[in-house]
Amino acid sequence: MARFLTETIGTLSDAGSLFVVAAGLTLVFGAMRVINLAHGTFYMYGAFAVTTFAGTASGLRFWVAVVVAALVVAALGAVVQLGVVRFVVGKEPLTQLVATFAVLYILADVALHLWGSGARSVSAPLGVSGTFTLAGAYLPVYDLVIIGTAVLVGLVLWLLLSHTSLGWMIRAAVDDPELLQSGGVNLRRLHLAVFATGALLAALAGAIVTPQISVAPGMDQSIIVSSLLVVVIGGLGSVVGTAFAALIIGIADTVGTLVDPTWASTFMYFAVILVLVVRPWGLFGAPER
Amino acid sequence: MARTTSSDAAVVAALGVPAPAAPGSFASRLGRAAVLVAFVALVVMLGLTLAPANALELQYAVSLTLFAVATNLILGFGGLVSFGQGVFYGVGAYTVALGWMHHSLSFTEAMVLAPFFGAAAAIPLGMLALRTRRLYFSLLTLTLSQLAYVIAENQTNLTGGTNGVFGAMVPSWLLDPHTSFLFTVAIVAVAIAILWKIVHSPFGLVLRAIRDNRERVEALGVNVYAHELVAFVISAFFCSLAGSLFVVYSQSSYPEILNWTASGVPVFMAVIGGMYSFFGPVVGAFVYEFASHYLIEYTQDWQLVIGVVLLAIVLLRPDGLAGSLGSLRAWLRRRRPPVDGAPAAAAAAPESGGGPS
Amino acid sequence: MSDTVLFVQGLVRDFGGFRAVNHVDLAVERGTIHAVIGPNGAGKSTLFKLITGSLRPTAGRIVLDGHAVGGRRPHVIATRGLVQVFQLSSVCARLSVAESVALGIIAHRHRTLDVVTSYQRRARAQAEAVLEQVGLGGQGATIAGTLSHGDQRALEIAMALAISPRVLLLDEPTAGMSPAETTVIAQLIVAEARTRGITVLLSEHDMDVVFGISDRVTVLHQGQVITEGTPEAVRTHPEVMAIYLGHGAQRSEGMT
Repeated sequence: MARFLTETIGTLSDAGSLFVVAAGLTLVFGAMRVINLAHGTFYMYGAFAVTTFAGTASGLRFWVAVVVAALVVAALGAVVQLGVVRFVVGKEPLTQLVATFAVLYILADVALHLWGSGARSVSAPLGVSGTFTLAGAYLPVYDLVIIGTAVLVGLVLWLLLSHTSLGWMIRAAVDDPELLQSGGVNLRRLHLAVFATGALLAALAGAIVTPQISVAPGMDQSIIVSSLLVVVIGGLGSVVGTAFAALIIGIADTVGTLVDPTWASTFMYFAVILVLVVRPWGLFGAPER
Repeated sequence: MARTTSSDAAVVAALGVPAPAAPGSFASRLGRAAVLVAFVALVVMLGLTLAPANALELQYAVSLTLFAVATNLILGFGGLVSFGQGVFYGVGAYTVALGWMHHSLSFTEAMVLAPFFGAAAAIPLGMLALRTRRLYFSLLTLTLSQLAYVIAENQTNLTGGTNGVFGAMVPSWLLDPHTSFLFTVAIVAVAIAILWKIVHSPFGLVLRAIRDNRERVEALGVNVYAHELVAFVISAFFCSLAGSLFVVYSQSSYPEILNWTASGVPVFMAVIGGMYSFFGPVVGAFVYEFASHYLIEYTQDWQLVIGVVLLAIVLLRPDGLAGSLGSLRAWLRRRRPPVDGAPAAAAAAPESGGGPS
Repeated sequence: MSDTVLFVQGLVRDFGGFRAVNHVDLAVERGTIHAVIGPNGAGKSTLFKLITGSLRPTAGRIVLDGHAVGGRRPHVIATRGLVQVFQLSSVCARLSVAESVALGIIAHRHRTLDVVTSYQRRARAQAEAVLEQVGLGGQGATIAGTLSHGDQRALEIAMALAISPRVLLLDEPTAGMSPAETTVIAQLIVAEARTRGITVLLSEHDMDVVFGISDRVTVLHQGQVITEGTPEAVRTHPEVMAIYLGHGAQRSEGMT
């Protein structure tokens, strides 16, 4: 029982942070039909930014650093949108993939200048560090913070998308952009807002996980792969699908580790392959045109 | 209703008189062949005169041209944006490296088998990946690349794990830099010639048509999925061959050659050089490889430079360097009055005089 | 006398709860021009998609030259001799005009998997003859995507003709065309049917074209066949007149 609880909380925590990153990716795709390979870069920048802003002090300053990091990276996202991404909206997938990969390359070098090539770390702030016991299991308190963040992000996104006019606009932006523009909506500004929000979510995830990981160059390339797995399983553009898929990936990873450590990291890939064999457009996606 | 012209044309066709296809005229074909021979001769001369270290770098670039052209068979000619060709490159490299490490294959055997292993691997992977379309295809192939990487990294007993395989896996006669260089150039030249033939075969035309409009091709009675699969397998065959040449160059094989960024490299080369031109990816491979190799000596920001180059090309010159060359030529032609029956003028010749009346 | 090349019986297609095609029967005689007309949403496009295999029928039979083809994949049906020309212009934009037709010739000769020979060049040469037929002679080197709308339609018909079809299925062949282009295409269709014995099944909005060139006309309304007969009989059919409110039905100068 204790073992089960430990694994469950660990899995939920991993799935939670993955969900927050991938939600940003799928949100951008849903509104703009752009797949952003530099999305993981925002995650890495979020994490690095926290190591800068939080300094060595823990406590309140950490939380401030998380918020500042997310906002700063959202601004960076706006710059990327204005400088690159808006030119590839509506273009071929190849153009989008190459252009956003170029952004990944460029920002990776910029990150080296800003933060160097070594690993950095931040300790969990007081109050949420350490462990607590439940049914005989020792569980990291910080896992609850991550799970809570993910649930909060999921709820906010759900409310935003299904209960506000903004959500309606985001859906219409793809289905019927002319209608939207004739209704007086500035499509470019909507895209800018969505892309910055996507960057913010990635940065938030990167910032919030800093106490549990070592922050180093290369994070951008590995997290983008996991996020892509999630959005592909969930169906591009579907936030609900993303949540399910993040759980599937988290569970596949945990089960893999328990079953056979040397094959552990392949389990999530096989999960993706399995899903795409059955539904080539993902669990909650729609077939392309 | 019957028109006189149609019977005339039928006669022409029956006599087997070739259509006056201006751009493919004998003279221009000859001219292009001469440029090609001169280019290969230049590369060979460079390779034989350069200092060993530089010659080795040139050899690597030559092997990458094959990787890029093979990838472009499905990318530029087939319209399939694969971020997974690194898998087959890796299969080629690991076939040679593991054959040596596990004492199961001689170098020659491994070199011969490598492309066939790649092609064999491409059958199930292609059958799977080609079920998806467009963006999903790109993302699924990217996933397969990452899966191959993870397997290579974790199956330490089989693959040597993270460190990969290093050692004297290349026979002694290939250790001489000049021999090794010429060996690579010869294999790449033959392979690219075969790919040229394939692109200009009936199959090549079908492939380009599928790229432009798959529904149209399917309506003509062509099984699009099967033809895409064949193209995928052929591409994998030559990607694996290129991968086995990586071992000749580096005497090693390691997981990084098959992760998703490695799979992206031949795509970027094709984009830089021009994916709608057969030799565009060759140009792109040289530009990419020398940029990343020599930039590193002057600045640590080679990724930044390459990123800017990629952005500039994809946003401003989507047809790549080869496309730019084409528009430059067209521009020059427009400036000069058409003297010796320029092809452009022939193409715009008045429509048949015997139209419906 | 009766030689039915395409035979459709009790064809049904549902989308969710909506029945787009409702027990449609259709018999197309060999060598005739057979038009399917009906107001927007009558089910013409769905019917055509069922016949070409882009959609699977919910129920019913489709028989092409004695072979049951209902529910088969489009490329299989095409190899059985039924070729369609799409409603929206859809050429292979980066191919040259000659290459586009050569593609059809290669498909027809089952040389699509030929990776070694120079057959492509021979097919391109043969393409010239087909291009002459559709009025695109001498345009072989032009890139298909740069042709005018009318010429693209003509090229598509040439591509279809290259595979020597038994049945040519044309979905709105003159949609979006100028009157002059419409005349050219209509003449072309007639020429193909009369001189080469190709059966033509077409859907068309332009009533002048329909009544000018068709041998038989089938009228669809709300997924069902209202009537079928000669152009004269259909034109004066009371239900048809009611549906079209006399729209275009009176004026029709013969084109043949």
